[in-house]
Amino acid sequence: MNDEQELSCAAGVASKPMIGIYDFSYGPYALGDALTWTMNLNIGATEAGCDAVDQYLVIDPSNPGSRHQPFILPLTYLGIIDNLFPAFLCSPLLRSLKLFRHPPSFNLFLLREAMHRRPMWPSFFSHLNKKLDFISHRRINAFYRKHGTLPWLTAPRGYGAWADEFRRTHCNGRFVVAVNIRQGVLSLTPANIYRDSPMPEWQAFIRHTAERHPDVQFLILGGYTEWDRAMQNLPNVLIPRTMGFGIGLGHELALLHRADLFMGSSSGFATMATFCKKPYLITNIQHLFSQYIDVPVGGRRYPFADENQILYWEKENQDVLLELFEELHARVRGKSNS
Amino acid sequence: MKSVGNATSMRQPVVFLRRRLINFADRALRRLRVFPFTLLHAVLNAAISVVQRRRGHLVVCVGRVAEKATMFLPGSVMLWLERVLSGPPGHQYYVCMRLPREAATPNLHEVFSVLLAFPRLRAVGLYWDETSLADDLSLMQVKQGRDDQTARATSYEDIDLPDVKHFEEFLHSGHMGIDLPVAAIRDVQTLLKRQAGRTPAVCLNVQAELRALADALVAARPDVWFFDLSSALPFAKATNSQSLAGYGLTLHERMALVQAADAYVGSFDELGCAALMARRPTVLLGGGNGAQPDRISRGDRAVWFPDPTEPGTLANPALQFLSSHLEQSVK
Repeated sequence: MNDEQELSCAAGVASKPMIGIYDFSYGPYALGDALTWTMNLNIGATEAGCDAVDQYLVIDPSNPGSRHQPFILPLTYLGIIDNLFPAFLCSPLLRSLKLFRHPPSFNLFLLREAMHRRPMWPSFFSHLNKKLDFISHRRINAFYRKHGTLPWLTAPRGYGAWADEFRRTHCNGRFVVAVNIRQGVLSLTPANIYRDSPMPEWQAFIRHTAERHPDVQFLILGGYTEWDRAMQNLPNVLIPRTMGFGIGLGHELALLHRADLFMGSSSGFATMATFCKKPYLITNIQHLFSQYIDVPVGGRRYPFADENQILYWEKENQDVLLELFEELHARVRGKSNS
Repeated sequence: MKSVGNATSMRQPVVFLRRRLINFADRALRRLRVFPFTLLHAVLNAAISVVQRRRGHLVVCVGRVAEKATMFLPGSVMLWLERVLSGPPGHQYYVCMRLPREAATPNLHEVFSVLLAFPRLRAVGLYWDETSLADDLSLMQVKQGRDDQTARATSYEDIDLPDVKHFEEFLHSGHMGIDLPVAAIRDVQTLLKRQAGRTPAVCLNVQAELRALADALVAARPDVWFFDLSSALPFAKATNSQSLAGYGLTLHERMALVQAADAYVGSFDELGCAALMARRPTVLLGGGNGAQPDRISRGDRAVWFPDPTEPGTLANPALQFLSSHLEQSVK
């Protein structure tokens, strides 16, 4: 967003909003998909010359999930949407965010937006047919090829200053690495557990790093049930969720946005790193994903990534993690020092 | 009068048939998930929505958040919702919150958690821009039916730091209750069973300056298990007190805990509100401006000390209150 757009939003004179619709009857409750949707929304807004984004989240409480997520039930959806909410705060153009728990009421707004011919993601027609491309990078890659840049995600609205303060208070000028080790098997709703990463390898890597790079501070992100207890005893590790009341996904996404480097399994947090221009190492990428992102299996980078943004397609071990970390650390540290 | 009665009784079958027809069309269109039936379904739903608005069964409430109120927003929003969601049981609400764009709001997630917990909210809108809010209000504020006296206009209110009047209103209000996620309720029930067992359990949530009060309660009642939800650390370690600061509890889980425990002692914030709503024995601290009596009671269930300046003098009345209720709960 340029200065002029910032000013027009702040002054309340935004004239052309982009409309985002996330209808959970066909869109998944998933951090990565929500962030990819936001990125597509940013791209749609930029292409259409919009200076603001209005987001609509739609849930039918009597039938809250899609057929791909049968574990989302009327009794459980409330906690799940509550956990996911901060993911929808990451667009720098965000002007309003509405949650409808009554789809018929949403339709009045939908028709209004359609009659005003406001650009939408997904399109009006796709929404009516319950179709959403929530996984592929097709539009993102095309935009990058055309413009050579992307409208990046930002820290969730209202959380950036908190993350800056956290770094000042707890990280003492150290090199901050945000880490998410996917442990779906330990999550509240286990799914696709073959995508999980080997926790002992990560622990060994972090332990080695404490000896070789004492200037590095690791922040472990993710659900409270998902990290290993042994992590708490490592001297170079902080687990924000254990550091007080009310620290959740919004804070973690902001910390990731403000970190020097992200390392983790291919999952929701990795999507945040991918789309917020952060140096990263993303491991254990599902080979099936290749066709959606236009990167061959084994390819080292996304089309829009730079040399400090590395993809590693196989299950990681401590040696690989250490080697790639040291490569990134040297470059990123060197860059910030220069 | 007779002709009016006849007209009404003649209209009833017509209304009934019309409703059946609309329901049938709605169900049929919902099953036909392809264009153009999906469009027809959207149009039908939008029309129903407009009619409901005209009848005043969907009430719009707008709260404008002051920048200085953002630190205490979850509690302020809870007090506000209790005030504005007070219509007849059939009414549903669309709540709009105008938020300051540049303010730090690292508790926005908790505000959302509070909003989600109110089952009467059909929709919630968070706005960081005046134009967008005005745009939506113009859509929602349709002309209301002339024949419906229950129809309500849009309510506007500034959400600032809560004042004494708001606390008093909340203390004495009827409380409609909140719905928390079942997972949160299940987890805290398990926590209570495992940690407290049969022992009475009390939630503590005091500010740092009243830490001595919490420590005095813990020391005076070794037969009670205290769950400490305060950010401030205890002065002394006690075997019957458990700080939950590192437990990673969400706001819903903390609310579920104060609603399930046997009593609550602490700030008049979102947790204090949740305890009151569940009709738990509650000792509320703070929020006064010096002009209130030392203590204000709501029946025998809740007592509020608006200006708790001296922890030492508060300990006795708080202990007396707890004793009477905890003994009842044991019986």
